[in-house]
Amino acid sequence: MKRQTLALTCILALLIACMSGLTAFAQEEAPLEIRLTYSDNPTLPFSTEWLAVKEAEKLSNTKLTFEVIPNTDWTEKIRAMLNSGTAPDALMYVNASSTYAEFGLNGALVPINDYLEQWPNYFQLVEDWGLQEDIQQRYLIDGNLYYISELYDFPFFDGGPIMRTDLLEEYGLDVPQTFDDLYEVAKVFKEHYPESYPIVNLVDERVTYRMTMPSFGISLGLNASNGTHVTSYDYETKTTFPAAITEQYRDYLRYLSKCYAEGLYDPEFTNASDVWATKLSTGKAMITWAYYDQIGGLVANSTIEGIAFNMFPPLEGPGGAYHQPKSRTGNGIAIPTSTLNRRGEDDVKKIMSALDKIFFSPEGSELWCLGVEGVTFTRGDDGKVIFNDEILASPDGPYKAMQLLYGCGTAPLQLVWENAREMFKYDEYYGEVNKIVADMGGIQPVPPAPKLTPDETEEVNFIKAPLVDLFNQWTNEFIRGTKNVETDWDAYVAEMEATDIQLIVDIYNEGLAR
Amino acid sequence: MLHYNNTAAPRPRVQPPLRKHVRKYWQLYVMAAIPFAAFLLFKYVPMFGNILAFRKFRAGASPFGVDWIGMKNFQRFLKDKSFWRAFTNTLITSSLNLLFNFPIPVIFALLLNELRSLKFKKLVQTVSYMPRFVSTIVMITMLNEILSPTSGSLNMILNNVFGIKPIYFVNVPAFFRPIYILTDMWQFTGWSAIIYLAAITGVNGELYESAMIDGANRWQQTLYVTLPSILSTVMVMFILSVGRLLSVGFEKVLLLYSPENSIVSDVIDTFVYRYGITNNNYSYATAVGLFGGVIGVALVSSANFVSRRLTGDGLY
Amino acid sequence: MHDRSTGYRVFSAFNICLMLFVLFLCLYPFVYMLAISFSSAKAVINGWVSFYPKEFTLETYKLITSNAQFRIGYANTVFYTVGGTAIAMGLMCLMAYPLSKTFLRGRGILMKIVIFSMFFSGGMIPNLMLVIWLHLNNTVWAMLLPFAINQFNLIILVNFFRSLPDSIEEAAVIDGMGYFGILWRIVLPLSTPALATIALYTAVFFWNDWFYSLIYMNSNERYSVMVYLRNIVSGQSMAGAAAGSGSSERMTVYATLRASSIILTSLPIIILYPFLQRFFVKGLTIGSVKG
Repeated sequence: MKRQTLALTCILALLIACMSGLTAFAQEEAPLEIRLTYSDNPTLPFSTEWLAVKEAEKLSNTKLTFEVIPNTDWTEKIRAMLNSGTAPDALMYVNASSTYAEFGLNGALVPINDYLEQWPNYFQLVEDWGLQEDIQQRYLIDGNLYYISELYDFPFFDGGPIMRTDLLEEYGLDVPQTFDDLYEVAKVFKEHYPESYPIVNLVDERVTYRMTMPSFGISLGLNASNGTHVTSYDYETKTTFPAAITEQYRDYLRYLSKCYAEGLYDPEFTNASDVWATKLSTGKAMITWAYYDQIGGLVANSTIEGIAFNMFPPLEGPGGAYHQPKSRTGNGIAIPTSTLNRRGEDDVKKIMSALDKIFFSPEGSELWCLGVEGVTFTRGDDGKVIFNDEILASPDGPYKAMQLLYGCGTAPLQLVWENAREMFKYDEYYGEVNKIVADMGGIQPVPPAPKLTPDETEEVNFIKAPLVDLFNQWTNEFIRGTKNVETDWDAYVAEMEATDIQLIVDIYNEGLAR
Repeated sequence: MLHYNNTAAPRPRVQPPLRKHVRKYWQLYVMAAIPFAAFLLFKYVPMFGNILAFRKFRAGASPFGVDWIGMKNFQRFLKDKSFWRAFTNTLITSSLNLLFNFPIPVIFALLLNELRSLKFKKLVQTVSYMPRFVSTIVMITMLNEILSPTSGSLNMILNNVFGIKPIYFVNVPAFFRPIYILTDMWQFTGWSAIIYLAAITGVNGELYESAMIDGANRWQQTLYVTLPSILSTVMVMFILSVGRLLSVGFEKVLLLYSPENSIVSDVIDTFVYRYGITNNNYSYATAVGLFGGVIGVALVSSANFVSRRLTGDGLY
Repeated sequence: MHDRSTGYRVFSAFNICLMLFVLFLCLYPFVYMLAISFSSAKAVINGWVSFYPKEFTLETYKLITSNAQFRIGYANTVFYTVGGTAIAMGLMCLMAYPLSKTFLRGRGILMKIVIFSMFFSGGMIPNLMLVIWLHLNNTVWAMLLPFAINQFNLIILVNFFRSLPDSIEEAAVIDGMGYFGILWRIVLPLSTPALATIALYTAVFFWNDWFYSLIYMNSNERYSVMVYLRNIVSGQSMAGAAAGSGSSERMTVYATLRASSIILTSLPIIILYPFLQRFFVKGLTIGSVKG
């Protein structure tokens, strides 16, 4: 009896399976074609063979093709495409900066708020993670939202001060907690290695600036967090202030020029990454601000016995201990108006629904982070993720290996970042330091973008450019000591004021108040 | 190089009616039509595209602007210190370049001419103009590798042989102009010398013989025979160079450019690139570009005028 | 011509040394690049390489030739060079021939139009705007069309055509041959040296170009190999004010890779140079044949 029932059930089950298979076959639509942009990093090159892309197509019944643009020219190219109406169906990895605001306000982008119901998974996550206010800030002056951003449950501490731990140990030094500590450490290093310049910039000074200035209460230079290069955001008063001419910045310059004068700061400010790596691996430098996943490469290429690097929480300065500000809503998806004209509203709705599924559904977001269960990883009993042997054996570490091999974790395509899930890709220490930094509140949010009219945006761009030139020129001279921070400061301030720095502050504050 | 005057063939005094002329030579007109249309489209339409300098650019709208804004852009950049920095840098860099790299090919050609062994002369000549065919990006990469303070061979040699500490050639403002001029010298000396060498070869041998009879030594022959004979060629080349005074080798500067050396390296073209293409102020950058272009034309015309006055020989 | 004074002898010796030095300067960068490209990254980092490879390896060549972007870029460059040169030669021949006929009415004004554009050009932004306006950006036409007619080359060609004896053509005209036929069957075969020279100049221009490819093209599928080279050489320092997310700063490209890319991208010129160099020079002299 039992056996018969079992057999019957089996047959029934088979029949149902066949039928549903057949109906599914009958209903199967031709995959929806979507053309997307991809911002490419030459050392982690895009591949059409990536597992993540293929799985995403299966998941959403789409055919994805990518316009692969090197990240070096990214913004310019997106602009050229929008200006000529030749943009693909959807733009990935766009950010909220004025560039896109300008296109939105001029009608070159589709207002997403007209199609909110196409993004159920996205708004579910926004609600789950309490990001409503962040999204609200993305609405422009015309009351429209023009892009769907990536989402973080909390900001990552992916880069920071990195230094030689073997040397700290050898000379009996504590891990520096403040910038003053760091100065003392650098001095000891310099004493033992007079030929070295202990502190070195990755690529150029902007990386160091953006990762250290927040501890002085400012954010300036090419990567200034509010996008102006010369002003910063005051988190207490919620206003913009002319940071480039404040005492905070003067303190910062005093610090760097002191380091420079004593040979603690590498006079070569611009270092291609291989030169930077060479200096650190060969012991010509010991302290830098860079990314955690770069440490492996430094050690691997070194011939120095026992060399070791580690990344530490942000150092404390006069303005607190902060890493570069990070947003919980970063780059994201925008739909050009040309897509609407070319493919019609129905298709645009379908495209949006498909993108929502691909990037924000639970399956989709796991796919872009971890890949496919059973292929790239398996789960242990405690729910812990164990990657496959190929990933574990890679000298690059899981984070890079997964990108190179499967396309998982690539910045332009992974739009959901859940800290706990990310940490599977790194060692325990990385999780710990992330926890420490989160607890100390070491990462401020990116300042809200002021709501500007196109004319104001243009005005800011005009004033900004000469100010940035002045700023760079003076900063360089102050640090190198060809201009004196004490005696020449007033002349510098006067010149910046004459070049209308206050005007940017006024326009920004007006925009912030809206 | 630039001989294109239109007067070589004497025109018939009485011209046949135009219609007859066209009917007879219609094929030639048809032949020129397509390439000439392409020529106008790609060389002259952009010239008129300069109206963007007087118009407002709107993202996503017409590339040639939407509203008239008059001289606003010009008023703005004339007040902009960075513009004047770029302008003076352009003049200084290219004047220095002219000062060194104009006479050197002439000297090189004269020296080459003194080589007895024809084979050796040919070898040097052939090798010396090879750099002309190397792309800017390749040259700059090679330069960076050679000058690198950490691994470059020049710093290694300076360090090992002379005990000099590594020099940061590429980023230090003081080295920018010498590097610019020396790389130009490397790339173009051999090439520019060709034309002078051709001119020297063309000098009538009898002149030297009579000079020798007069007891002139080699140096005097060069001074009193060779140089005067190639003077008109030198003059034409000089006018051409003056005309290019405002067009510094843009690609090279852009590749050598860094915020650190921008005090000396920013030139008009990189200024246009930075403002226009990287900072999206298309209309403003067009205005600056137009200004540079107009000054360039003015420079050529005046150089030509002066040359005509002085030597009776000009470009046009 | 002979001067046997001691002064002149000293000068000659000095001159020979100087010329040897010139030879060295012109060749050394290539020798150095070759040496680096065949050396190990470690040897280069530690500054051991200056004239010949240390720790010989072919690793970087394997790496670069298996790089998809490099291969796509190389193929694009070959395509732009061949296609661009073909179109340029076609258009320039068609334009130069009528312009070489001094009896043709309107020729003077056409020449003036050509010459004026040598001294005043649209400029970088208007040129880009034109390409955008025509919707040519990110298509191969943006490379193939705008640079087809180069004024200098055109004038060289006009002058060369003018230098051909009129008598040959006159016979053909009497035979009832049209001007297209004359150009194709008589003039062009007689002009091979000039055509070869100009084709070479044009090909070198397209081969070496990176800036126009950079600003007119949008994606890796269309970029020339020189843009790839630029991206691995100075991409980082050029990645401007964008996000600052660090993705470009995290990449490491070693000198060995740059050197092998340089060798491979310069290969055609290095190989063909000894055979073609006589044509390079010819152009300069042809242009001034007839005043």
